[in-house]
Amino acid sequence: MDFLEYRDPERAKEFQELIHERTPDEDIKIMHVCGTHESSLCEYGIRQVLPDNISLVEGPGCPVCVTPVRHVDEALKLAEEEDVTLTTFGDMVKVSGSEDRLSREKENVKIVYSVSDAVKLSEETGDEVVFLGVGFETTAATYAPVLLNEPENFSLLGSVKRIPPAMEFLLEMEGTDIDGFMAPGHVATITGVSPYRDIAKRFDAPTVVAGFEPLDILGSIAELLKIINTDSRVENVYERAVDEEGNRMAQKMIDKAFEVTDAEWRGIGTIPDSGLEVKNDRLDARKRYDLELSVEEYEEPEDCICDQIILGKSEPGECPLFNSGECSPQNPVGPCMVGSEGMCNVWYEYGGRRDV
Amino acid sequence: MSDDEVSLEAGAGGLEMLKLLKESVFPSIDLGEISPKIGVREMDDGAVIDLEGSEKYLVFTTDSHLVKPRFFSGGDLGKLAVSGTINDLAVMGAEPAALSSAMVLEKGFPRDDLERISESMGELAESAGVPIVTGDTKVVGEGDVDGVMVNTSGVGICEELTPASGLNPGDKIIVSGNVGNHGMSIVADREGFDFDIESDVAPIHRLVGELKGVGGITAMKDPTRGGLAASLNEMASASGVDLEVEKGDIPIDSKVEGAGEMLGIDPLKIANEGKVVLGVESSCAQEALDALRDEERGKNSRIIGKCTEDGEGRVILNTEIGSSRILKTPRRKPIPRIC
Amino acid sequence: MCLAIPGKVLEVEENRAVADFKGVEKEVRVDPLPEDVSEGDYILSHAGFAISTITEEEAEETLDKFDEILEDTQG
Repeated sequence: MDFLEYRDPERAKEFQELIHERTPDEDIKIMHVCGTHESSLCEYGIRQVLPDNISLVEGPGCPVCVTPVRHVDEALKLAEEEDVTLTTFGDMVKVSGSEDRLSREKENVKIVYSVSDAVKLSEETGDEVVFLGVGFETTAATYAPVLLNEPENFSLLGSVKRIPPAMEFLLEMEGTDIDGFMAPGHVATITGVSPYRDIAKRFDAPTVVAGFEPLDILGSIAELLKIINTDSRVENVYERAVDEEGNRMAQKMIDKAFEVTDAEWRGIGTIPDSGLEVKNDRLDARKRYDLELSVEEYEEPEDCICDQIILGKSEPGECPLFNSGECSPQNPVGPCMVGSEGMCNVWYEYGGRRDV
Repeated sequence: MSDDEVSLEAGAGGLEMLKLLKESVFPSIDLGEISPKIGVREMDDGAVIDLEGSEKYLVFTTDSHLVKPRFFSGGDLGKLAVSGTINDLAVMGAEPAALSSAMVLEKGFPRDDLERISESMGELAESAGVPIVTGDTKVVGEGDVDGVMVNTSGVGICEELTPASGLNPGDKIIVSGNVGNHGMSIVADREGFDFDIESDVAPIHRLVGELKGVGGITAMKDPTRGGLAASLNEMASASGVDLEVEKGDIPIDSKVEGAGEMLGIDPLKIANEGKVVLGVESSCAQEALDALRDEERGKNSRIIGKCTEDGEGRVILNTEIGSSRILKTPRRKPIPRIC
Repeated sequence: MCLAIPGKVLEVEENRAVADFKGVEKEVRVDPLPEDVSEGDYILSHAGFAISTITEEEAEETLDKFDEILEDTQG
């Protein structure tokens, strides 16, 4: 599969030179909204090779980070009080609810690799299985086929969100000063490029649709700088996986299985039309188990500036809790440190932006 | 979890464990005056004790094993226990002499499993030439231990020490083969994947023995929990040097890479049970490499980096695309992720 | 948030395929794909489901696209 790896150091160097050539004198802020992009950026030391005046910030793209605390409480409640097996992706393990952590050491909590494994478990054991469904459109595309098959003793505790409304929200907000977007390539395989064209046009926001290999990212940044300098539009640099209309089959399945609702993003608040809720009540764990609809009561501690960081307005280095060590991956206080791809967690692990 | 109680996290070997030990254990057992040459404080793979009237040292190590699944692709708890202790002695520079094996069994533990584990231990001890000479057995009530816990301790004699703290600027870093196999095979078995990846569990004392003829070996570790990343960091900070490592030079099986990319698990940060990572004086590096490669268990050895200068123990990873980043000790257990 | 990797399809049966990911074989659900896949195709897999296909042409065209960007004298 070598031909699908785009890590050639020659081209990487040439992209770096092109990026330096195209970078204007003033400060440029590029935002991405994908935990996996953040992962790639750090793994390949991308920020280190960019000019100093380009800041590449992570917006609300880490699904663990933006999951409201009460969803974790709901999951824990189901595991403890109802006779269910609570299944989850590994990413959510160790995340704290308001009082306790989601932990695989708990008797009826199981980590699974795929929602299909959770359904298989329900079929094989006959037990009631609930899946804590976090993620964005990419992962919704895995939930939809499962829900449409109407499994018997299975339900989804949904925490599914949509990225384009969040991007709009950020662009409408004052003070975010985003010069360009790096759109999430795998969300785009599902949604297609067109939602981003709409947004780019309405908000005058240059956007590139980027893949995840280092050359995908460097090439995308180079392209983005060109369109920031000339005109705002959308360039698809991940054509091998993303086309204009996206994955129509997946979109159809998602439309059938979910309805669009407002959703709450931890650290931000409610973003209109940014959530996906399970249509079939029997398959919606909240309805199936009569979970009380509660409002998010959890408040981040006073000094926590995650809400600024998640909007790209501040950097982890500006946070008093980060700097004092009170907030760390072992003892995460706010959402940016909770997810392993959260900006603060990654900053902590990899030593900051370009500090090598 | 209150600070009054030992947390599960403290068993994971990271900062929490260190805190637990420094606060509740070391103050009492680390007795300055009768401290050995290398002891509890150094937290190396083994302890080193001067032998009066001799220029040789006694090396002593101990480990408790609870791995689950107990039987995994390429090995089992018994093999792991014997191999692990032999390797800890070997990487300190010792010739392993003998092992002990203490078992705590839960009432109801299957006799078959016990026999399988014992057979594995015996077979490996014999083929490695390191006998199990003493032991202990206890049986406790249901729930008082999870199935079985095996502790193996070992002693060996050493002429030239190769502690983790021995690195000097200019030394080259060598790893004796492909990394991540054991960790990935355990994840696969635990999560129910059929990946056809085998643990590399094996004793490497004879492999290390080949290096004695070369000379210039300054430091060694076996990269078990936390993988290559943890060992490099431990060696760097114990030695007070910074390291620079080339990602492209680190040998990794394509399957392990594939599994890692699929699950979001880094092969550099998961355990190996049949590998050595070592520091060697630059002038001896090629010879050391050749000596390792001559052996079956070292055939994929590579020079992966060097010690750059005195420092705080930073490990810098040069990526495939020519940039650099920091490689830190992993803090999490390897769990499949989607993000 | 979307770890997805390419794999080569080895066999297909209804809504499941077995794909090879750098030597590791794993079953992948292909329900979300708009077209049927066959042996030899490459799929992009996320959390056990195929979300897109990638042809060899598309993979090569990526390199062409990179070179295009590099040779572009505008901007």
